[in-house]
Amino acid sequence: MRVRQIFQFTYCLALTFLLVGLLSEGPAQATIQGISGISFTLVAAPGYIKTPEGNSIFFWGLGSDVNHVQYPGPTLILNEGDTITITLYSALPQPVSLVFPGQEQVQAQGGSQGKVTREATPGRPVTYTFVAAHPGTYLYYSGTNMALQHEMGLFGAIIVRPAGFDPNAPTAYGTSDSRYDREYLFMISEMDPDIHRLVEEGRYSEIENADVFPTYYFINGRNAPDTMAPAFAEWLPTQPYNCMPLMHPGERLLMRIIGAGRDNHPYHFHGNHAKVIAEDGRLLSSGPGKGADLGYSRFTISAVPGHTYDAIFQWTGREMGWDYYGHTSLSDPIERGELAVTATLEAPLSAGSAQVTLGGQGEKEFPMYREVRCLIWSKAYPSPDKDPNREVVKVKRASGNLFTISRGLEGTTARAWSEGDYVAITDHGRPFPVVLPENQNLTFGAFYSGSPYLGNAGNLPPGEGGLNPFSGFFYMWHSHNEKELLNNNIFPGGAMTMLGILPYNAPIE
Amino acid sequence: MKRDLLLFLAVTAFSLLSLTGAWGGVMVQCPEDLDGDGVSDVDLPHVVCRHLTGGDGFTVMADGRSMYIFGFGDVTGMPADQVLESGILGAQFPAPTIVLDEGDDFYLTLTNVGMLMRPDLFDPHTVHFHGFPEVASIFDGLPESSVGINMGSSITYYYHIAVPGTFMYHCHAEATEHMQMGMLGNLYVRPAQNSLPDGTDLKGFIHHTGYKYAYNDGDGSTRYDVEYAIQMSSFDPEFHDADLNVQPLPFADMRDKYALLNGRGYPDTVLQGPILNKVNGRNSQPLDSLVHARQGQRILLRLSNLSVTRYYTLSIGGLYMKVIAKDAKLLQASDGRPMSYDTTTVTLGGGESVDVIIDTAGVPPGTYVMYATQAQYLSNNEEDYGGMMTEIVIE
Amino acid sequence: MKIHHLRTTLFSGAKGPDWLLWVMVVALMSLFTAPCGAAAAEFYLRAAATTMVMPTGEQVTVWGFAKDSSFGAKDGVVTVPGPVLELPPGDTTLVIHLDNDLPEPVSIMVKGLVGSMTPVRLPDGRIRALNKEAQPGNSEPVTYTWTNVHPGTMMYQSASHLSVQVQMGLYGAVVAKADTGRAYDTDPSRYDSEVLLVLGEIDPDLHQAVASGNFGPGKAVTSAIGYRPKYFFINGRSYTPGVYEPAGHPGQRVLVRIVNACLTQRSLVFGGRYVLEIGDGGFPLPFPPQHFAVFIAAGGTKDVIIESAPAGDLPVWDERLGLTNGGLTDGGIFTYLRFQ
Ligand SMILES: [Cu+2]
Ligand SMILES: [Cu+2]
Repeated sequence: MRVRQIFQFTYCLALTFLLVGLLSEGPAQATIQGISGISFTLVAAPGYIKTPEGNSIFFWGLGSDVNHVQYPGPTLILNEGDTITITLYSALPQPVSLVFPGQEQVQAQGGSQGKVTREATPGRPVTYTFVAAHPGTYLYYSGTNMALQHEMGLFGAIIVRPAGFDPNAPTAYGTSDSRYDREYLFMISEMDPDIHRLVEEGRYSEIENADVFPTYYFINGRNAPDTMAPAFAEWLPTQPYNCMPLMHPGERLLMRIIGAGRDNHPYHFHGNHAKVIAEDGRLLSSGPGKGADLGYSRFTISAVPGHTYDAIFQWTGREMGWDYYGHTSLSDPIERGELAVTATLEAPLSAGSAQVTLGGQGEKEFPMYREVRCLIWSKAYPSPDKDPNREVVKVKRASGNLFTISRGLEGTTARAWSEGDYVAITDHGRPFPVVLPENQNLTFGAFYSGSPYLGNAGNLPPGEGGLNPFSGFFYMWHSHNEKELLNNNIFPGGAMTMLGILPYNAPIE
Repeated sequence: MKRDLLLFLAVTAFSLLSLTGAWGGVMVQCPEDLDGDGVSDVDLPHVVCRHLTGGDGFTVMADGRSMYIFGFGDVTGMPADQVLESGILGAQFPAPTIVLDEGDDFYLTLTNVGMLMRPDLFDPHTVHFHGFPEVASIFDGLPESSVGINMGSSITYYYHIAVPGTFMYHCHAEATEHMQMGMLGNLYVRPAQNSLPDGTDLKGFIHHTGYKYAYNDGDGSTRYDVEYAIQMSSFDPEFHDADLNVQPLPFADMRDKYALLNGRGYPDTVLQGPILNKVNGRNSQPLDSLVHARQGQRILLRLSNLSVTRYYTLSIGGLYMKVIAKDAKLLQASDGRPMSYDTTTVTLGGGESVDVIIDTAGVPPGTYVMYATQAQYLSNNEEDYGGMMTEIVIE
Repeated sequence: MKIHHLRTTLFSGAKGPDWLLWVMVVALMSLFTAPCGAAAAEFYLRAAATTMVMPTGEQVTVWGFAKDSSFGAKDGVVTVPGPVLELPPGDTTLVIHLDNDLPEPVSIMVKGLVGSMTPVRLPDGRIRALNKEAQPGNSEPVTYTWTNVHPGTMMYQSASHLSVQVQMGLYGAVVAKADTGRAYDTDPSRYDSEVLLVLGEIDPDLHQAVASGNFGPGKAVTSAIGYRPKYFFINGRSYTPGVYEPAGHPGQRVLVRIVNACLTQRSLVFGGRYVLEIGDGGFPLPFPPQHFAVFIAAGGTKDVIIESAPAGDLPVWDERLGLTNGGLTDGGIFTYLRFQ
């Protein structure tokens, strides 16, 4: 399709500019943008947002003053235990209010009483107070004429930091299983531009809310590819928040997902499962001290309207079957993240022995009922590449933490090992399993480095690739109702972004 | 006639182009494949090779309407010189079901045979193994971050199958279009627990050879007798017709009117046997969704949704379901306590999977109906008594 | 809620014949219907058309159920949703006698209750009804019996012509209690007071087509594929100022039973308070999560517990925004739970 091709060209061009800027400029992008404090002023007023294919849509937003409203409203970053005051002023043609699901001791003063809470009108603000009693991911939204006002854009995210929050060792809920290296917000919403046009033109009586048919889908208020543009980009003054998750292998990425629209959105993240540890700001826990023991792993998280989810995403390339750094020899240096799971020998392993007990917690992560390729090396060395006597083995659980070991594989020989020596699941040194087609038979993605290996720039034909300066692995994180990958009639776009897993030599912050 | 001629011309053209080297030609990669048919010629345990074509074809909806599709065809084991002829207008819907075992090394070759009815398109295709954990971008099938295979050429994907569960697969090139057009299929992985030695004690549950489980549950709780993979999807006929007629595609206005189980609407969902399309007579919708069990058996339903437009909720009149897993993950707390639960409905968005077990102990023999509770989709477009519905027969 | 026990029904119908004979009959019937000595909840339901006035004033023909005192009495009121069928604690048998005053055959199923289903097929072999049907104007009741009722909040509905009859209004709630003050045999399901919210929606155009005989093969509307609801309800009522649901006393543990008869999922918010989700589809959830928005599948049910609400009116709304009355905003699936 010609339109599509033209769009893809501009999409790539724009992204090259944006992404390279994002990586090299160096502002802190790995935390969630927002405003913090205990006292906030929010003004509800009309404005316009921009969509990547060139449309401009009238909306009602929240911001610091009538000229700085945004979609979504400002993300409020709060601290556990603080008493929060929010004063809402309105410049809208109808009353407006705010509700704060999940917050405690919510009080409203001023304005006039509405159906749900007190409402503001021009000149009559409302002050809301509440106690941010629990850490977690929350949202706020209008409690007035919700069918219209949520559609128009009156909502935002709330993040409550746990007591004793340490930005250098952050956690979402104060528990060790909620610790993370990077965090990103995914606030998913949608718009039906016809309704916005009717509101803009004051034709309220023609609005048929029941017939809403959205054609724009957003993450943090932007449609792809603008989701990947820098935060606070000048050309998107009412859409300050981006969504460009980047990480290194082995790191823990906290996804804070919020269903802010009227439809469910199945948010699918390529790359791996993520473990949901909390819903609606509450750890999925069977009791105090148990952590997120009721957490569950998903490859798609359904963002249900009005719900929030916290999930930990990790990627180590575990058991891929080949070495994603492209090492072909066991003595090639081990890179970070390559030793997916490490256990220790609980007892010596003699040269002829086939069974040994493993410990060090890592053994819990070994497969239940099948063998797995491992490297075994001496505790005198930090990693197997350093130990000239390291051995390739296949390890299979016999029962409990007793394991059967097959030895003498891949050119290594069976020798004796001591208690405390290491056994790690890894594909270090295993060759790439297939031959890729010749370049002329392939169509290259703009996020492809030209090589299957992480951190390795391959030979791309001129004009191909370009959005992957550090040769990372990129994964689409998107609504899996693929109709939502549109900007009105244009593919690709919508509720979509890319996760970049970058080699360790690529700076992310 | 005209189509036969087109077919002939296309095969000839591809062959010529392959000779000149401008096209890669059909190339399958499979360990120990000595004769080039893409199948191992020595017995390699845990090596699985499949060969799919990506192209176009035709289906017929339960109301008789012919529907143009893009899709995958199965040419596993076929000599290379027959692949194009088989693949052209040979798309199946849903795509050929892929069944694997935990621990397999899976080599999946995709040959792009082009879209015969759309000679103006030069779209690459991919395979996205949806939900595959710890994937490298090169084998993720996401064309934006890796490669798509061009017409007339083959690519081989490799996957080490480390975890069991109900996944799915689809093309990710021009995802909204290619997926609406039908490049979707069932894919699931059976657990290593199936191959435990006879008599293994699983926390008091004694495993016997031949017992099958949905997951490595460690306690026999996911044992089943019969399994059915049923994939939900839906078609917007206007979109398909526009694609066939080289018209602008109604992306924004996409409204699916045929809600399908394994590519068919009721009553075709319970029709056992082929459905021949009206254009070239191929059996392009080979899967029914009729569920059969004897009273007392445990039925495993591997449910997935690859609709590109909406959520669907399934319910069964007169039965309830135990939800044992979602997104290929057993519902189990970290201390091993079961988090499975009984319910009457399961709701799936695009790209979600759910495994349910129906225990028919004490269930009166008879015919039960599984249907979408979004009851407007119990229609084949303008025809009533159809859509997303199938029968469960308990004898 | 009035419960019709088998014995009461038979005795009240006994005028004249020797009481000994009736005792024998009762004993025999009990053998068949309630072998464990448990009582049976028995209902005479009648499917019939009636008219509902929409909040805009529009009059819409709906199909609903009435609870009659006996077959043929036709003394119940036809409502949408249909009458609540409540089983007392320990009662494991549910009997429904169906009378059909609608122009097309109707049947009944209770979702989540296992029972023999006897599908009815169209001449071409398609299933028209998932269960045996009562023909229009039936002279004998068609009787459905479930002997394995478990505690829970369930939905009963027509099992015939699903694309039309559910959205026409043929649905209601079945409430079976584990115990006085307990929804299930689980500790988190204990409660002091309870309230039932049945969610529904109406597409007036489809109702008009069905009511006027313009729906069917060869007619103006041939399938429900164009379904577009415009009105949204809790307990058969769009939000109306001044109307509330009595929920209990302040500080009590209140069980909210939710039945979603809409043809789409809903997401209910209880004023932003946390609720404990204890049941799904009429079964207890093993580890009840705390949520401030409650997802309810199309055709599904949920049980939630509200703990220690303060005195006053707690607003309840659908975050999926079924909050309109036709084109008018600020209506639909919105109500107050009153704690006083
Ligand atoms: Cu494709
Ligand atoms: Cu997918």
